[in-house]
Amino acid sequence: MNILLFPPIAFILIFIFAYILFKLITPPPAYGAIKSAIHKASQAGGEVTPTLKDEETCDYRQFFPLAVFFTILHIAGLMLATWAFIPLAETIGPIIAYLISVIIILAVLFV
Amino acid sequence: MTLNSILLPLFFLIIFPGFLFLSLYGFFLEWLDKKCLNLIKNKPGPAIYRPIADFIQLLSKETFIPKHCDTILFKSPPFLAIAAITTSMLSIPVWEKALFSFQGDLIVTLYLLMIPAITFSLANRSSNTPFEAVEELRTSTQLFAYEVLFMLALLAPAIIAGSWNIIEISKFMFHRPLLLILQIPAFLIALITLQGKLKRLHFDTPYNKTEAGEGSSGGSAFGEVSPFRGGLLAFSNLAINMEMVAGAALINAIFFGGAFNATGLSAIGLFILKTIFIVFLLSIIKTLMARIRIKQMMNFCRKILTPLILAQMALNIFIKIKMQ
Repeated sequence: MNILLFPPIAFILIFIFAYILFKLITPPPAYGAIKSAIHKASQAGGEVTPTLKDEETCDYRQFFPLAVFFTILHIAGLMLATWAFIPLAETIGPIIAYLISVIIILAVLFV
Repeated sequence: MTLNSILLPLFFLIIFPGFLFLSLYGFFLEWLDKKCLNLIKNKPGPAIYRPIADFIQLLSKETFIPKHCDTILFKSPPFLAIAAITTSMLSIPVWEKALFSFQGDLIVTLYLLMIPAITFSLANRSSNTPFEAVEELRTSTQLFAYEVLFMLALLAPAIIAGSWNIIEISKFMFHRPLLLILQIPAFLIALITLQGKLKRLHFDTPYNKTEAGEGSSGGSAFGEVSPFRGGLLAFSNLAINMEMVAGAALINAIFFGGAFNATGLSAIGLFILKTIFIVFLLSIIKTLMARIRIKQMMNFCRKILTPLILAQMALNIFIKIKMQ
């Protein structure tokens, strides 16, 4: 296989290509320093403060159970899919691991 | 290294099945999606050149960079997304084989297809304005709900096939069409969660016009609010179109056997027919869905789709053990 098709190299090549294409076919960007009304941050008919203050920063605490749910399901999925194609799949191991995963996930979701 | 060994990979990356093919086919699928939606609603629908005309129109507009944002973090997401999606197409078969196939390419592809959602979330955050920050939180919350389900839905057939290689799974499913019937729940979950990846109903809460206006943001092709304007918005929309192609191609390869057993142009024709069918199903789902609150969407994912996909995985493990 050609090294240029190796995913990390392909990723970098396409990133550079897309950025050069963008630079070639679009007018230069207008940065926030320009003082026309269109560049003012406004929402729902009124102006808003241009930058976030501490009290306006979003609270991520409600986010944590979802993050745990996401992580556990990800890992459980990868573990189960791995066990399914190695000789260990002939044993009862995947079933036990699966049941433990499900119990943890349901505990995160509903308790 | 010969000239041919440089030009041929560059042709694959930039022309086919890379950037140009994904862009043009993405524009076509965007038009097809809108046409189907309008036909179902008994409306005429847009002209076939409309998505390209919209793209060119956006390119001609001024690209605005907010004053207090992190410029690099704000500007890079559309290009990172395009790079990730194009790279993912190296392992997804467009004809009888993939360009870069290896054991584990399914996992790499799934994580590459996760990059666009994360980068757009970062773009919202880096714009450093309150409304985009709220959108970022909503986008990330939804991402946690649908991304893992999309991954599990595509891993379920991999369990039966006993492989993490897309081509091997494709070959396995092609030779055992009866098993596909048992994979219908996973297929439906993959379709529903692909809606989330493409920011379509019912996963479009952060882009709801009634919840946030259009003041500091531009309208995107699929949602209503985006942190970008002008050229960046054009490339952002292009990335979502390309993701529609890559998502449909991946679902086709995993559940429908890809273009296996066909060669050359007939394989590409088969790929196009199957992906059009998948986009048609996506359009039907979008038409049937009402706009729902973010909490309802989260509960739907966690309390209905999650147990369903876990049951599907349990069934697949059982089938796998029986088959051995």
